[in-house]
Amino acid sequence: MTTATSAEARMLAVCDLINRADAQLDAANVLQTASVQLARLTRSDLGVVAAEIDGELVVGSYPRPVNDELAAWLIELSRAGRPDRPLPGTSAKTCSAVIGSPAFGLVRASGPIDGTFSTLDEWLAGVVATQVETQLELVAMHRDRMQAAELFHDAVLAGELQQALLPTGGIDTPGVDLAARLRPARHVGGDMFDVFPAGDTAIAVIADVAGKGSPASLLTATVHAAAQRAVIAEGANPRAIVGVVDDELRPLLERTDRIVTLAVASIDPTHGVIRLASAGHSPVVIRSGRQAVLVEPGSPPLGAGSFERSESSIRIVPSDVFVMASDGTLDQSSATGEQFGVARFLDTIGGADATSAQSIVDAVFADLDAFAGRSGQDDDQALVVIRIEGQH
Amino acid sequence: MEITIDREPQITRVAIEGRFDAHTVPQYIAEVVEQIDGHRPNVVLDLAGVEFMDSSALAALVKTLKRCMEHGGDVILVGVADAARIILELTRLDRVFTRAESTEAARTRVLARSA
Repeated sequence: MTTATSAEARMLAVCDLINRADAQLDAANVLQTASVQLARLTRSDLGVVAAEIDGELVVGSYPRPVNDELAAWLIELSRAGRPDRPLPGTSAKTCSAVIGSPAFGLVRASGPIDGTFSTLDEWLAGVVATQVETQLELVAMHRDRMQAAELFHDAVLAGELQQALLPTGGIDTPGVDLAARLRPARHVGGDMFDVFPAGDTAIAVIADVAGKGSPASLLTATVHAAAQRAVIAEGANPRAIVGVVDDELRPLLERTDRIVTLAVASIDPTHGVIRLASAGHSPVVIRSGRQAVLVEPGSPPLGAGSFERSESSIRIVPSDVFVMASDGTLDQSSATGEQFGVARFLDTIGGADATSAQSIVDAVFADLDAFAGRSGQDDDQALVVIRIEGQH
Repeated sequence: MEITIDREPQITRVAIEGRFDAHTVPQYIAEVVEQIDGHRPNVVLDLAGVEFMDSSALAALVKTLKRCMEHGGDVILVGVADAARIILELTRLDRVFTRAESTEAARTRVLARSA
């Protein structure tokens, strides 16, 4: 009875130690903790727990360290089957157990200090081996989970960075009330927009790289940088901006077989005009009163060949609303598989409360969400709304 | 999406039915675009059965055109369903692709060109 109680107590001690090692989640710590416990449980003068982890030898030993040569010998021994030879340089009596099947490590005690190992000691060595094996599996699982978590964390950071690259708040151009929102389908997306003040004029840029997720987002950053440079070089000259971006990106788009739609608008409330150059980008909408109409692009997307880029002019008066969005709005599907489409998009903009640009952004996303229902968001969605301020 | 492919000398006839989007583009690339070579540089693409097309599908069409042109061929669209026509027009890609009234007309055009 005494033996059983003692074995139980020692067993609990093993579990306790192993549980504490659980928090460490590191293979070397697991083996070190197990070797301490093994030596104590079996009252040996040297406890060694060694395992091969991802092709590398990891050794835990107590109370004194063992050299790599000895550890390699141990592993060799464990592979050969149940070891029965003594540890080199230790006393003759040993007790041991093998970790894993096929064996990738072993647990071995030598000594003991007070005489001989009992069957209970052999059994305890086996318990330690089993616990170490389970623990190492947990370590591997934890490592996989950490890697997955790291990837997820990276994606979240990339998404935050992508949002941070976008302009926040409004713009100082007189007569321009601006609101915008980007909602990627995944963490990062293929849509981008930006706005630049240029005296009496605001320059708004929107682009959509075909495809979604990380591959599209990498290209999106390139498009964004090219657009910024083009705006700086060309000023409020939409057709020239599209031309410069087109020339710069063509080799890259050719190589990667990607297409990008791009729309650049200069909005000048003082002179009552919007100039628009669009390379295949849709939808772009102008709302006058409660009438919203689609403004069609002048040329095909970037990456689809060489084209003369064109520009159109739109007359604007106060309270008109100019909208540029990505096709993820039109392509949004409902639970029954229908698309949101151009007609609904125009109805939403025409019918929205137009007290501010923000109220229109909110209305569009509310309608998209209501339409999507349980089917969720399919594609990246970007929306830039500019409301012309002043007395009509 | 269902892709029906008929390979003739010079021409590959391809009919696409259903949803042509980011989910089905990889299948199209593997079965159509990667099969384009010097022996069959022309693709006659029947879009009559297309129910939905997104920008990934547009990129795939442009890729088809590039591959065909690299081999001295062309892509000719026939029977373009509204779902495809609208997005082609909205992006002005209608200007990039040649269209024909029928598969027969497309074949005649291709063979005349390569003759």
